Amino acid sequence: MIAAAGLGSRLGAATPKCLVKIDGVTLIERQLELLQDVPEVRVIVGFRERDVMDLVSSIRPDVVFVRNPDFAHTHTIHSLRRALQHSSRWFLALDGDLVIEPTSFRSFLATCAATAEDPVLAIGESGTEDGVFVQTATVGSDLLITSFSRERCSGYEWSGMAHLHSNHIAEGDRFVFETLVDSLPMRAAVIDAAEVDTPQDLQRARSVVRDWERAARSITIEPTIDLWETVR
Amino acid sequence: MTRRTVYCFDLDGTITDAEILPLIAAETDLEDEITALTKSTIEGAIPFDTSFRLRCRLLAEVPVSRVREITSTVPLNADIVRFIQQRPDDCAIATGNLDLWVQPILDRLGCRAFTSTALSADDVLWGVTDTLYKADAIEALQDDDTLVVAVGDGMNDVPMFEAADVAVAFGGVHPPAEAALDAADFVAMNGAGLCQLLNSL
Repeated sequence: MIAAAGLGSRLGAATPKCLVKIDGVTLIERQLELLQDVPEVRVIVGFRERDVMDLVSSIRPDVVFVRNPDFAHTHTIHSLRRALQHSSRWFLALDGDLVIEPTSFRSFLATCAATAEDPVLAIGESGTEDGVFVQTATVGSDLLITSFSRERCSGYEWSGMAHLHSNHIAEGDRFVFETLVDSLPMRAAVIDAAEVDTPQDLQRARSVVRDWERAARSITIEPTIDLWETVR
Repeated sequence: MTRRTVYCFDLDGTITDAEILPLIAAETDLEDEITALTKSTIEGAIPFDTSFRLRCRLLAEVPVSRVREITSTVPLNADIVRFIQQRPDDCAIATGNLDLWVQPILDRLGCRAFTSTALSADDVLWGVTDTLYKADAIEALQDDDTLVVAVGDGMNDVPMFEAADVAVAFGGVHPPAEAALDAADFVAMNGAGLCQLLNSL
C-alpha cells in the first residue's frame, strides 16, 4: 500500500511528492521497480490523482488505486484505512516519498515474509529534518522498538514503512506512529532509506541515491575482475 | 465482518472489451453517428436514457437475430468472466442495454442481470419499454447482511456507485468517465488488478 495522496506542501513543489524526480526517475517509479515481485500493489491517490494514476498504470497496469478525496485534511492513516476497507489482512505500508536502497528493501521483505504474522517496522539512521525517532532495545537476536518520539532520542527514525495488519490501524485519526504506540514493543528491521519531506531532504536523497548507485556499480564490477584472474 | 459480498458489474466497456452499440451500428450506414452518440453518452454530455432510446431507434433496422449474433461473439474480459463464473450466485450485471440484445452474453456469464427491456415481433425491435436506472439494481441487491460492490466505467454507472457500499471505476477498455472516477472508491485499470481487488473485499 503506497500512500501517495498528500500535497507534499513542505517540499513546496507543484507536483505530488511521488512524482518528484531523482536523476530523472520519479520516486514512484523507483518504488514500483522495488515492488516488481510483489503480486498486489495499491497506490492511494489524492492530490493530482490523475497524473499519478496515468504514470503508475503505464508502468504497471494491474496496480489498484484507492481514492482519498479528503487528502488535504486527513492523515496517512485515513488513506491506509481506505485502502484496506472491508478487508482484514497483512500488508506492507509505504510512503510515496521514501527512497529505499534496493538490497536493504529486499532483505526487509524477506524479514516480513519470515515473520509473516508479526508486525515489523523499517527503521533507518535519522537524517530527515523532522522524523519520528524510535528508541530500541535488543532482546536476544531481535531488535525491538520500545517508544516513538518527535524529539531526537536515538540515532534511528521510523521510515514510515511497516509490515502491519489492518487491525493495527483500525482506530483513531492520528499519525500512524501514534496509533502504533498501543502495539509496542514491535519488531524493527534496519533499512537504508531517505524520506523526502523538505527541499533539504530532497538534496540529501539525491546524494544518497548517487552513493547507492556508485556502490552497486562497484559490486557488479568486482566479480568480473575475479573471474579474469581465475582464467589467467 | 461476516457480511456476504455481492458484485454488480456494468456490461458495455466493462465486461465487454468493446462498446456493443457501435458494433451493431457497423451493420447500418449510421456507424459514425452512433459512435459519436455513444462517446458523448459515456462522457455524460447526453443523458443516458435519452441517448439510449435514440440509438435504439436508429438501430431498430438491424434484425434482432443479427444483433444477437454480434453480441454472442463480442470479446469479453477473460479475468472478469472467470471471476463471475467462479461465483455466479454472488454476481449480477446491471446494464442499460436491452435484454433481447444482450441475452447471449448473459447466458455466457450465468449470473442474474438487471437490464433495460424492449419488445420485438418478427425479429424486429418495436420499442424500448423500460430503461434501467442502475441504482435500482443496487437497491434490489442490498440488505443488512450484504456488502454491495459496484464496478463500472461510464456516466450512467454513477447512480449505481452512489448507491453501492464500494464503487470501483474500471478503465480496462477506455479511461473511466470523469464523473465515474470522481464517484469511485477504487480505480482498476485492467482485469487482473480488478479481480485482485474484488477478491479482497
